[in-house]
Amino acid sequence: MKIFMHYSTYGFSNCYLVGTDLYDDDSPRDAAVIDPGCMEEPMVNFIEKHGYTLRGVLITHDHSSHVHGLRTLKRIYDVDVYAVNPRVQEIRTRIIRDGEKLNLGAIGVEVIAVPGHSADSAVFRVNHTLFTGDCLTAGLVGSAASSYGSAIQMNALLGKVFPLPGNYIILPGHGPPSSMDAERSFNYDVNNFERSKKKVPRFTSEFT
Amino acid sequence: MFTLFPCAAGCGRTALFGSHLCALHAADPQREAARIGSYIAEHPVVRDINVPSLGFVSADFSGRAFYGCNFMRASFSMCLFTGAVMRCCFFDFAEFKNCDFSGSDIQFVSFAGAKITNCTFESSELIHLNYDGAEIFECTFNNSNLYNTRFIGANLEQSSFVDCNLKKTFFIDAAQREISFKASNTAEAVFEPERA
Repeated sequence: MKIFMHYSTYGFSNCYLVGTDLYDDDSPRDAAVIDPGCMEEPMVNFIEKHGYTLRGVLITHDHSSHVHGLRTLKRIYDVDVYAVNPRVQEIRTRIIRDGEKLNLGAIGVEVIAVPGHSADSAVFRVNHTLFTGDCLTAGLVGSAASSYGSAIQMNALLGKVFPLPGNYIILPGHGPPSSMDAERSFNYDVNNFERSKKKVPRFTSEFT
Repeated sequence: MFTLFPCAAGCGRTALFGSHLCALHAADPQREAARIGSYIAEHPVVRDINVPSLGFVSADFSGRAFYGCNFMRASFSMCLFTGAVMRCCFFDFAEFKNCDFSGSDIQFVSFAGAKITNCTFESSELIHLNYDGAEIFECTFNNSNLYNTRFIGANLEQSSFVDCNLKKTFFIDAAQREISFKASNTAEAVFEPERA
């Protein structure tokens, strides 16, 4: 799998391009874009230089720093947009759901819904890589508008993402990359949440 | 990005680049390290290699470009990375002793949980790096650009960040002992979580 990261100066987000490995001339040449926060020349060059056919655009969530380049992209490539929301930037999408498995040409994608940062937040698993958008970045989890949002996000992360077997590469929507083992050990928000759960309520401690 | 193939011994670890076995099951891990070291020495641009848990001593990786490589849990002692270029590489839980990264251009790389002792990262581009949970002792980052780099939960001791760009550099929950931020823009760094 080839991964190209482009830093979008609009919203300071990470845009990703995933392409199939090119072993020989007969290898499938499929690619997908994840979170087109911008659509700039280096991204088009990556697709065209490798002779890729763009098979889909995956949206981790509908915030402008992650979809600002979608209209430009759609003008260049006639490609389906996969998102939890039915419309993104006034473009009709193919709706995806938790646990759904997509085949974008030779690229297999599993959808893990992690609402909280936004109602439509999703994580995409491609091979041993997780594209986490804003719900999980290096050392932190996504901000939420309410404590309810924070709680459901944390439950989804601890219930569906952290228990994934093995060590995954984490490519977030903002900031540096990470790995699942590193997040299990050092994520500040997750560690705080786990610590708060272990706190014994005062009235209980008086009787123990 | 590196591809993972399972170790032929069935241990669940991943096989080393150019081998069917992981570092633990390789007949001679030092020979494997020498083989991969010479491969890197022969290639100015190294792409997509998977080299976890291998030990390198006195290797010269200076001026090399690394793209999409995995060195998780590897160890490096007295290695040279001067002027090296790195993109989308992973050194999580690796160990660095007496290594020189000065003048390097390292972007979008993870050193989470790494133990870094007596290393220099001076005059480097250290952009979008992940040092979360890293133990950093007696290291120098002077005159470097640390834009958007994270040291969340790191343990920093006797290290210096003199005249660095610390814009959007996260030091949340990082333990600091004898750290110098002289002439750096600490006002633009993040030392506390933004939300209450």
